[in-house]
Amino acid sequence: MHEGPKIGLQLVENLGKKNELDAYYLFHATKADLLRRMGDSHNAETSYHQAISLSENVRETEFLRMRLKEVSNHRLVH
Amino acid sequence: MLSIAGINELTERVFREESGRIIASLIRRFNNFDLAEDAMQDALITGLDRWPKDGEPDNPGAWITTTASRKAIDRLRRDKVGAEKQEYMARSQTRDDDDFDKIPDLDESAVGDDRLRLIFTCCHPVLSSEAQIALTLRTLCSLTTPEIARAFLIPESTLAQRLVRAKRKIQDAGIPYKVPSDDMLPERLSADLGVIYLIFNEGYSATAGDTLTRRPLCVEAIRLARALHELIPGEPEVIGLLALMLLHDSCQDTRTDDNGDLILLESQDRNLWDQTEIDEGLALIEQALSLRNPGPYQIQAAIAARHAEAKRA
Repeated sequence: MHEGPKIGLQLVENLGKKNELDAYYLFHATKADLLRRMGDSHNAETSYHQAISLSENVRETEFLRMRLKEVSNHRLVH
Repeated sequence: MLSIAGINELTERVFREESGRIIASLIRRFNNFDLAEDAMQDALITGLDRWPKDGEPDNPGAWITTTASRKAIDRLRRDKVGAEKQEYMARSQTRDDDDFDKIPDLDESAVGDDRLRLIFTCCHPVLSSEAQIALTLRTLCSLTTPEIARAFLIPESTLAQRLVRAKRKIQDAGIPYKVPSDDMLPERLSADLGVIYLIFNEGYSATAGDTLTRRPLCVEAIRLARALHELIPGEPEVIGLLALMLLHDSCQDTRTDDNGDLILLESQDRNLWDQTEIDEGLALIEQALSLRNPGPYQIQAAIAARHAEAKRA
């Protein structure tokens, strides 16, 4: 968080360039959180959906759904 | 009198928490991975049948171990080549005891630990690193095949084949069930550490299910790292890994609320972090770094140490 979410997102996207992390839910969850912090609700929603579809832990899925709801509401309001 | 639900819960708990220990001691005794797994399954089924009538045994884990040993002997007797196997078993047991006596200056509790022997067997160089990790998670940590497949991001059938091949390889190559000799120890370590850390991660963040963590796996991983640290003191990466896991483990109680829902780092009550674990972790990472031979676990532990010391995220 030291240099802001935008730099973070670039680093994370670099890691995902070879598509090896496509099936890894935390990769999408991390992207989603950084996009949310940047205020990019539209793309954050897409990443949350991907993370939710890949996560099989109930508690984590619940948390991701809660965040998804937050960004969706945010997008509808603005 | 135990209810059916109570019995199911008890069996589930014994399986989750003690099957690693049970399997390890069965493999030492019978020198056969498949036989050990089958015998434990038999014993669990027997428990499901007997416990509602006889009541819960004082020590369910020990009950399962004893019953499984009998079941394994039954299976060997039934087996057409049973006699041959029993003879082989007796031979390998003697050999193992001989080797055991030859290992010098090692902590009794660490060397005598079946699980530690099993980790070295599962992480033997004859196996690929994927097979090493898969086999350890399956046998020592009682993860199911689907759970491990998900952790590896590979199809279940691929993983199942990998496990079968790995077990066959150990059997065919006659890999001894013991802690390696002093001169072999350092190079065998790297795989062990990787496996232990994966076990910890599965406990810290469970792949599937309705709980965020599977704490017994974390306890298991820390215990295994401690045993390794006792066995080979002064190994920087072993110390680093132990420190890393202790520091991560110190905040376990604050990661979920009373409902089991997730609490993020920035919202956690740092007063509730386990200060004993933090102190131990900090002392260990300091010791490791002073040896001036850094590696990935020490670096991660050093980062975790900064988080543990910070007043806020």
